[in-house]
Amino acid sequence: MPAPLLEIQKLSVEFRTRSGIVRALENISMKVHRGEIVGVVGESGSGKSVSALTAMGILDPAGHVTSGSINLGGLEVLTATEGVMQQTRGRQASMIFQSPRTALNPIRTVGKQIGDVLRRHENANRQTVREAVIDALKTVRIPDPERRIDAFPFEMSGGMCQRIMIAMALSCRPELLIADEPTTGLDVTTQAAIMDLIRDLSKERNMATMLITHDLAMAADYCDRIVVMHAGHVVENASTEDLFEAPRHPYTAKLMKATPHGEGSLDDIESIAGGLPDLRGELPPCRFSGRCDRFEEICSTPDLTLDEVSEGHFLSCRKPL
Amino acid sequence: MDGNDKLKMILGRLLQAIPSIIGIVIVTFVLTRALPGDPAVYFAGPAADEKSIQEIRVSLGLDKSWPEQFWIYITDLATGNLGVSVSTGLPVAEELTRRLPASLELTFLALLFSLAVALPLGVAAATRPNTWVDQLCRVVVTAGVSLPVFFTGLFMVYLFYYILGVAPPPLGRLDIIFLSPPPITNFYTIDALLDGDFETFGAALAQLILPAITLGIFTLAPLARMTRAAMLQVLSSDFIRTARASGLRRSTVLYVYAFRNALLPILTTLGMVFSFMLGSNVLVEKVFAWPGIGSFAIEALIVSDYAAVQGFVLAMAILYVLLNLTIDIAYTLIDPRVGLDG
Repeated sequence: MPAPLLEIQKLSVEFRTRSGIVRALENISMKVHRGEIVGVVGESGSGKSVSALTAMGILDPAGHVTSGSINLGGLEVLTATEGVMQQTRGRQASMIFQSPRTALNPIRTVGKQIGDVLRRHENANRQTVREAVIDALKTVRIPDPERRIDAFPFEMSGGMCQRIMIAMALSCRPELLIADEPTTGLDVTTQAAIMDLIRDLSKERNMATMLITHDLAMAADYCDRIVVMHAGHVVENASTEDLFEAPRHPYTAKLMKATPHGEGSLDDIESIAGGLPDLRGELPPCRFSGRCDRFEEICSTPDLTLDEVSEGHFLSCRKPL
Repeated sequence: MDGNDKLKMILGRLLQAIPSIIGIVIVTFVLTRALPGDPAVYFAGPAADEKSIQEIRVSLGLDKSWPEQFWIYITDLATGNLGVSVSTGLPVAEELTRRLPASLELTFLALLFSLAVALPLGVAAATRPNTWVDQLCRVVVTAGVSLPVFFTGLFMVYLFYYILGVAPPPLGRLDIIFLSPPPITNFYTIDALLDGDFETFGAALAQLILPAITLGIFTLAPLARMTRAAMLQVLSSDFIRTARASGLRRSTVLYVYAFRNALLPILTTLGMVFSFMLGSNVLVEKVFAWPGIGSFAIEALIVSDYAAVQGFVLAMAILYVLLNLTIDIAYTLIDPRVGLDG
């Protein structure tokens, strides 16, 4: 197998806040290969976005990487200078966000915003930029791009804005695309259209794609591999098939039971008891132990690691299913 | 919207201002007459008897009923006649065209100074919160609002004129050895430049600097505070994260993306500060013997000089209307979501 484009190894991130140190990520590892869509799934606050922002080098200044490494196509992200990272972002690795309306500059035309990215990363003059922007808009199937190029974000629908975001992110043909809940805030039909677009473009361009979502069903539909995160830990990482066939981690299993699917009624959906543990202060080795009904004495022994339990299936649990 | 639409909207806005100006005319007329004190008694002097007071009252037209006086006032107003100031003996219109530019020149320069200090300071403080720049911003803002204008003014005169001797004496718009430039705009600096007289320009500017800085120190506080707050807010918004995730240069993110978005609240503050300045720079005018409109109005008010007070209030009202219009137009230039018809 070729080397992964993005490899995160044993990454730990802390946030120093007034009320104490929040251990947002602890020893997380994951890989994303070219042509592969990897879903990162978990509840809000499980560390999905923090992992992505750290990989892009745009973590909030309050966040500190305490250990680990991130390799992006040969570049050591954590030791690279800000200048190098600036040139990498948007050209080699791009990111799209949730609520596209607020994620675009409200007082700049969408054409100019895409043009800013193109001009930053590619030598282009005024005329070629306009053509390149129109091309980018065509790529994301925006109707009438010659007219839309001069529109402001507030003149467009949410779905249109997300297409603009994607056009902007992909305008310089990056190798890695991180999509952070790209369909949150869009209606269901638009969600499907946007996800289809992301999948098609990833496959077409052989991009490495990281899809962050809390929607396991969506991840199942679009991803080749799924990484399940809980409270700053990666608890399970397997190909989508393996994971759905035989989830090994109790949390993954519970997540699946909590996800609505075709057959069955609303009553079949179970909620997961409890909430994420407070990430400040002392935490048990397995951060799910407080919510887990398989918890036993052995779960409290330290040094829980993410191990390969079968071919390509990684698990961090002492009492697996 | 195209230029023609914009022009129509501007005209519409000017028309909308007419009712408020009519209201202001009525209110100032009534208010000046409701003021305590009888101008006839004042101008007749302490030795006057009942008869001479009555004569003065008749000559000022004050013996007539209020509706009659109001009718005379508005018919005069319609022909551009603002009446004669009884305290200076000059037509009010002439006083205003001489004094208003003096105040405006001072105000504009003060505003320019405070913008030049407040904007970079606020931006720097917002981009580096809790560093020495932020602390400096905090100190300047606190000092700016807490130092009274007359104190800063007197201190500046003491330091730069009396001790260091680098500033000219604080005696009005131009040192007496210079002739005032030919009146075109009545802004001495501009007139001197139009005349090509750089020596007079320098002298006029030298007179302006101390009062402008005095006034500017006071007004830069709200501007710096608003710049910092607006920048902090914009910098934490989602689209700034997008811009950074796209690898845009720090300067692009800061100025093209963040600052332009922060401009709206700054502009609002600027409008407020400007109108506040025009009305309240009377203390600076007093300290620097500046023949501005503020000191004129105060003197007129003390002696119930009706024509002068009415002229002053009317001039201010029109100025505010124009100011608000300018700011509204500026909004539409910055933010495409703002319509002029709002």
